[in-house]
Order: sequence, then C-alpha cells, then structure tokens
Amino acid sequence: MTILEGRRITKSFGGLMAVNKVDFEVQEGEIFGLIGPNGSGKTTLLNLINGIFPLTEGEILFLGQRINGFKPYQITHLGIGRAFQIVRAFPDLTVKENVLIGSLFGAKRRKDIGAGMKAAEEVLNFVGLGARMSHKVSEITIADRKRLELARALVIEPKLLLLDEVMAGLNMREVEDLMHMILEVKRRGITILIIEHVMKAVMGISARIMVLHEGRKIALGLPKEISENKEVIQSYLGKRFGRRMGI
Amino acid sequence: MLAQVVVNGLLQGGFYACIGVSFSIVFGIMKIINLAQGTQIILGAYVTYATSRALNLDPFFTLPLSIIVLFILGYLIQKYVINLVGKGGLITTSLLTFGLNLIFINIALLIWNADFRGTNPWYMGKSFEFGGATIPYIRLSIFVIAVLFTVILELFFWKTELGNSIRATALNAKAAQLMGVDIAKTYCYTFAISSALGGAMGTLFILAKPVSPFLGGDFLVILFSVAILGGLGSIPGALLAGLVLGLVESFSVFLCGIQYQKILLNLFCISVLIFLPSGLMGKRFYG
Amino acid sequence: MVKVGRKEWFMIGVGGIFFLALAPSLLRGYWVRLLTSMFMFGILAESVNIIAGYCGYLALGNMLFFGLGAYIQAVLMTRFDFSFFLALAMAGMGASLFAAVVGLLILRLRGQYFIMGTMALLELMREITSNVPLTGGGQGITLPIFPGDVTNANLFFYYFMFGLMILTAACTFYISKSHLGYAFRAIKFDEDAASVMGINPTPYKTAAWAMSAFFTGLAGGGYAYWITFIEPGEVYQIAPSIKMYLMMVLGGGGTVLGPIVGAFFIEFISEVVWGKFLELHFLILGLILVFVVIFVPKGLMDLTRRRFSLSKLRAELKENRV
Repeated sequence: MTILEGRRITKSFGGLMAVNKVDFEVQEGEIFGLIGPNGSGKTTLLNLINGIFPLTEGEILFLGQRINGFKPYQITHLGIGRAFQIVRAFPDLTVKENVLIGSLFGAKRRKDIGAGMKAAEEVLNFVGLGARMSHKVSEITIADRKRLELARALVIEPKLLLLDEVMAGLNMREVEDLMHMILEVKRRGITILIIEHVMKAVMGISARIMVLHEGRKIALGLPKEISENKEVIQSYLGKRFGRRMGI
Repeated sequence: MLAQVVVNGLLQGGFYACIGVSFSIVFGIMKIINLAQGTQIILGAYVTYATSRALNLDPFFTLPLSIIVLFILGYLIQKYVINLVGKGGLITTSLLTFGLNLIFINIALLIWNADFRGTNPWYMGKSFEFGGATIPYIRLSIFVIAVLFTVILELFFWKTELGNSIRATALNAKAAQLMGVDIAKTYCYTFAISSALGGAMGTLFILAKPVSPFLGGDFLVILFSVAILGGLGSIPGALLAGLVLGLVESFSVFLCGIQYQKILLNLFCISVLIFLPSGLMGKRFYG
Repeated sequence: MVKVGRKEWFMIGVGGIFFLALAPSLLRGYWVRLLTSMFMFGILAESVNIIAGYCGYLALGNMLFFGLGAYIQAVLMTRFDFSFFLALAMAGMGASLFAAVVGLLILRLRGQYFIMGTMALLELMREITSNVPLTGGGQGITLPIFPGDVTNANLFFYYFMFGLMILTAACTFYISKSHLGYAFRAIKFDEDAASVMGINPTPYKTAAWAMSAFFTGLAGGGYAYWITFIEPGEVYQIAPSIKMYLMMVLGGGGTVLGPIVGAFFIEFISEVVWGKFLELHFLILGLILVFVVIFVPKGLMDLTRRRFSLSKLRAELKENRV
C-alpha cells in the first residue's frame, strides 16, 4: 500500500528551481533511499514533505490525504517523523529532555510529564543512549548526537520516518550500528525514507532508490538497477563505483 | 490646499527617508536595531547648536562638523562597545543600544538641560509660492540635501571598495571574511556612517525646529517604518518608503487633525510590520 | 566560591518570605514603600520573564499592559464606581484579553519585528489614552484615596504587591515544571524545529503573552490605586519597560527566581541613585544596562550555579565578540 506519494513536486526559491516536477511513491513498510549529488534537492524534498516550506507546484499525499499546505506540527501529528541533517536538538536541555518534548507533543501523551519521560527513556535505550540521558547535548559525541536525532524522530511514534544523512561523519563501525538500528525500526513496521551519501549503507538496506540531480528525478528503481544506470553513474556515482560493485 | 498637503508630505518624506536609511543600514547589515539612533540624530542637532553659537556661524555650515563628530562617536562605540557583544543575540544588542540611548540623553541633559533649544537662522520662515503651495526655503533645502545624501550613500555602497565589502558582509559574513574582509572594522564603518548620517540629519532638523534631549524617542517609530517599508538594505526602497510615509502622515493629519499624528504614525508602523514585512518591493524569498 | 544547592535556596527562600512578611512592623514607612516598589518590579520582571525569558519573544513594550491595567482600574473605579478588587480583576483580565487578541496579529512577528511591534504598540496605547475623553486624556485620572491612614495604606499595598509577586513567581514555577515550560523553551530556541516536534506555537505563544499581560495588568491596577494619580506619559513609558528587562537579564532570564533577584537589586540601586544623583539617573541606568549585557548576560542565578571564573567570562566574551 502506498504510504507517501509525490506528484509533480516543484519548489522554486526566487529564480532557483530546487525541486523540479518530481514524482514518486513510497510503499508501506519499505526502506526507500534518496541519493544524489549535493544541491540536488534531497533535503529540500524532505523539507517539503515536513511542511517546512510550501510547494510551488504539485501535491504530496500521505496515506491518501493531501498534506501539502499543512504546518509542520500537523504533519508530525499525522505520523511523519524527521531526523535532520544538521542536528536541531535544543542545546539548553538534556538528552532526555530533548526526546521528552517529542513524547509530550508529538505523540498522544500531552501533559503528563511522567508518562512522557517513560516513553523518552524507552526510545533512548533503543538507540543506545541510555547512559547519556542526563547529559547536555553539547557534551555528547557526534555519533551520539545523530542517535539523538533518530530518537527525537522515533519518539513521536511515526508511521513514516524521514532520515537526512544520519550517517554523515560516522566511522565504519558506527555506520554498521546505525544500519542495524534502522533495520530494526523497519522490522517494527515503520516506513523509512533515507537520504544518504554513504553508498554501502543506502544500497545495502534500501528496497528501492530514487536519484535526484539538479532538482530532477533521473532514476527510480532497485539498487542494482540504479548502480548500473548510465546517467546516475555519470552524474553522481562515477564509473569506479560501478566497477567496485562488480557490475 | 491639496497641493500644500502633497508638498508638505514630500518635503517631510525626504527627511524621513534619510533618517530611515541611517537606521536601515545598521539593521540590514548587522541585524541590530539601534534604539539610540533617534538620540544620535538629536546629538547632531546639539553639535550644530553649540558650535554655531560658539563660533557665531550660520548653523548650516556646521554640517561637516556634526558629520565628523558623529562619525567618530559611532566608530568608537561600535569598536569598543557593540563589537564586544555583536554576536550576543537580540536581547543583548537591543538592551545595549537602549543603554547607550540613555547615556546620550543624560549627557545632553547635563550640558543643555531639558529646555528646547533652537537655532534661528535668518532664512527661517522665508518661503516661496509654487503651484498653489507655500514652500519654505528651509524645508526645500532639507529635502534636497537629504535626498542627495541618500543618493551619495547608494553610490558609495555600489562603487567603492569599502561599500562593496560592507554589502558583502551583509549578504554573507563568513564568506566575506574568507575573502579577506575584516568584519569588525566593516561594522565599525557601517555604524559610523549610520551615525554620521543621523548627525547630518540632526543638523538639518534643528534648522527648522528646536530640540530637547528626549526628542530622539519620537523618531523611532519613523525609523522602524521606513526601514521595513523600504526593504532592509535597500536605499532606493527607503527613499520611496520615506516619501510614502511623509505623504501618508501629511494626508492623515489633514483629514484627522494634528493631535492624532502619533497615533497614525504608530498604526502605520504596526501595519507595515504585519502586512508588508518585506517592504514595498516585497521580495519574499522563502515562499 | 560557595556552592548554593536546592536545599540552601529553599531555606533562603522560606527565610526571606518570613522576614518580608514581618518586615512592615519593623521598618519605617519609607522602607516599607521602597520594598513595595521592589515587589512591584519583581512582578513586572517575572511577567516579562514568561514571554521573553522562557518563550523568547522580546516584548520590549510590555509596559503597555501595565498602563492598560492601571487605566482599566482607574476608569472603573472613578467613572463606574467599581470596588478596588472588582476593578482589579477587570484590569488583569482586560490586559490578558488584550494580549490574546492583539497577539493574533503581533505574535506572528519574529525577532526584531516583534520588538518593534510591541514598542509601537506601547506608544500607540499612550497616544490613544491621551486623546480619549473617557480616560481624562492627557490630564490623567485621580483615583479615590485609600480609606484609612497612611500606615494602613502602606501596609495594604505592601502586602498586595508582596502577595502578587509570590503569585507570579508561583505561576512561573508551575510553568517551568510543566509541559508549558518545555513548549516555551522549544519555541524560544527554534520555533520551526519546535513545530516539527509537534508543538503548535500559536496557542503557546498566546498563552505566554496572556499570562505575562495578566500579572502586569494586575500590578498596574494596584499601582494606580496606590499612587492615586496616573497619566498616560507615566504608565505607558518605555524606560520602566526596559528596566524590567534589565532586571530579568541581571537575575537570569528563564529562571524562576532570577527576575525577582534582579528586580530587588536594580530597584534598590535606582532608589539610591534617584535620591542622591538625580541628574545622573539615566546615565547610571544606561551604564548598568551596558555593563550587565556585556558581562552578566546569563544572569546572577547562572553565576551561582557554576563557579564564577574570570577565564570562563573571557571565553564567553570571545564567543560573542564580532
């Protein structure tokens, strides 16, 4: 069943066409990869889904409902979670309090702080930040901050999770840990849309991948098809990648 | 009658445009609202008052002096005070400029006390008739000079190296820094220019009307309106906005009466903030 | 440096309240009135803390609710013969309602625009009040005199402002511990990120401003009855408005007790200066403002929480330096 659908999605900033008539659909329960060179419009697309920017043209449907034009908090309440590329955690609060906000306002628990704290703890344990709950955000490592972003997105109990380069800046071991975590999230029934530059990771876990280049969709298909696609190789992956993948 | 209203509005508008520009450049380039700007204008007027009396000069000729004095004052303040906490956030910079405002007011109070002080140049009250309106010479001169300064400033920002580096800093401070621009110094010049322009306008102001230390506060709503309506960082925009404000004020005073002037000015300011935050030529960047 | 922990603060707090409750019987009229004034600014600084310190919306013109409260009080008591407490309730609720309604438009503004908007609003209210016959225009209004002698009056207003200050602080304490506090702080740091976290900023911002207006309006109402005569230029003034912010910043924005501590400090200094150095009054206030925002931007509460060190101060200055 289609959980997210984008039709002719277009966004221009003044004269700059950031996203240009992109069509796609994401199936429920799958991991959908989104790749492309820097500036190709990937993050902008996520921002459009989240309602941070309004669309210039086109439609976005979530579970059949048009969501373009909705405010971010409304989209969050509908069940779309977002982990940002640049960690937007609240610096004055502790790790736990950051996640607490999501559990208080994103999920159903509204006013009960105690219940909210419990939910926050659960999620933090899941992402492996159980030991860091009382730390200030400024005191934890980059890898941990990425996990915090993931926790903040998970605590709102999303049906669809948008991940924006959560693996950037991590070493190989940390990437593998995160990959396992993402697969576990998928196993729990959450659909995932993931932007990544770490090819091994995104090719490894995605069921299908869409490639953007200068705002346009240039390919959408299985990982193997994408890695063999001439245009994708030319614009983004490079011939060496194709050879390295053994194709 | 109508002609008079229009003329009054335009003449006043030129003045408004120029003082608006002085506020706008600091706001647009450093993102600081200088709550002391009004009083800096008044200080310029006081410089004129003091020197024209001391040297027995026609006050108009003290214009270069008020420009220089306020330039230096602005430069020093930016260098030794504002630059200390320039990146400190909105509450810091706002309270800081208001603190400076209070200091300036008190200095003026100590030297000249709270009475209104005016110059009374020989050309005061002299006017000519044109198109059914009475045009005072002073007002016309103020208008011409104010517009002239605005044009000169615009040329400065586009044609000189310093002007270009200031604009670059406004657009992207980090990038400008990488290109070798000294941000701290650029800010000093920016604030100094704003201050000097304010001082010059103060000189012109006191040619026509008397001043007191507290008068600066009344300018703020005008500064806000012109800066926003003109679009931050746009000098031609500020010029247009000033003229618009002048005309709006003139018409509304004509229709409603002078006692409602401040009410209308404040309503205008609030309306601009709410409905035209990107200015008349509203370029809304993010949809 | 002495480390002051929760328990110590609590005891200081209780002791302080105790002392202040008994103070009028020990002090002369002058000191009673001075303390009353300090309490009033405590209310104002704490109110400003709710909208600005916690929620991040710098309503520099917040004094407008003080004036509004004062005038509602005055008009209802003089023109409509309301009793003090009934008029007071109207003053508080009126100011609060005004904030909620005006907030529909004004709270849409951000950052510098919001500051300018509230400043223009303050001036607007002053000018409207000066031009409307109901309020006595520029001549002001004289309220009925408090029944009883001066000492009784002093006591009444002392305990009035004291009680209101405790109430405002209690409200702020509740906010800091509840979901409201988290919402406010999220909005303050990054309103868009807060929205993505599921917070609809509008009702929260409005609630913050309405609460701030409520207490400020009550203080204004009490002030009107206390001083017996009000005029637009006095109650709709920008300088006290900024003073509230100075108090909040000095004590510590975003803390419960900070603004009150700041208020006591500044109001005391203000009083001394007003008495001895009247002609330097603005200068000193201005210098304090400049000094505090440069050297104590996070407030005294923050200083006591961690060890004060010169090197830390220097590091912070370096961060903020252009």
